[in-house]
Amino acid sequence: MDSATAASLESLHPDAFGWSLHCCGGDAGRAEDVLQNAYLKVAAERVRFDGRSAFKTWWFGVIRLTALEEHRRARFRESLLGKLLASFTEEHHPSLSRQLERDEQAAQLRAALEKLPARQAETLHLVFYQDLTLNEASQVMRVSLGSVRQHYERGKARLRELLQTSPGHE
Amino acid sequence: MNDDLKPLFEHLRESEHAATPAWHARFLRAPAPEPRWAPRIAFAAVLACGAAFWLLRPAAPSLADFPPLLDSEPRELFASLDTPSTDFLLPTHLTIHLP
Repeated sequence: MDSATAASLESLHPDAFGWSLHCCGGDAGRAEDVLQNAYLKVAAERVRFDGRSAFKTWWFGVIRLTALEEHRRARFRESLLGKLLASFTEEHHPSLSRQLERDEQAAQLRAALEKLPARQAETLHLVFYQDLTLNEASQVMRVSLGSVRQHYERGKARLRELLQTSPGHE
Repeated sequence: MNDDLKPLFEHLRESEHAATPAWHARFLRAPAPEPRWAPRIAFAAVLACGAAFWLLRPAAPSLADFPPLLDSEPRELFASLDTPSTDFLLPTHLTIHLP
């Protein structure tokens, strides 16, 4: 891997973690795993930036796909044993998730985003949190620009409603 | 206008950035390739075990080792046909006399 790619990945690391966290529904442990696997893909040259889009757009697309793969794998692992192990590890690794929940305002927004349809929440995250344009968001999400625009408008309206009705809202 | 939403996301971003795990150069280190000789050694071991079982297997007993179960006394072939049959089991009044 060339040093320019490595430098770009390093500078995007915090935002990449935020995106991974969003893709994993706020589960910090899974978000770390997903990001690690995405880095491994780049390191092993299983994915390669071809310059057809912005680097950030490409990288976020890789993270999104990795999160989807991880989610599919997790569904297979959801056995009784898996749940027991998960509860065990939760006890012994107090979590980044809990640490994040301490911030009430952030927690409220996260909770409201979780109530939105996945596509709407993704669009809002990419636009407001990651400062991507609608066009870039459509590339990350692999949907048309028109579709992203619709998710964006509906998502904003729904998010405002949810935030107004949330218990902590003044 | 998105003035109401933007600051909320900014706040969320700051909060999550603070909790981001530290960057490590090892993230970008390619995993060591799996040694290619490992499957060969495994195959050779399986082969060796198979050969050992084949060589050390107990020998199959030959027929000569079994005791004779149904051997009869040696005698002339069809000798029983030459002995006249008897009708001593028939009742006397049913004795058939051939002309």
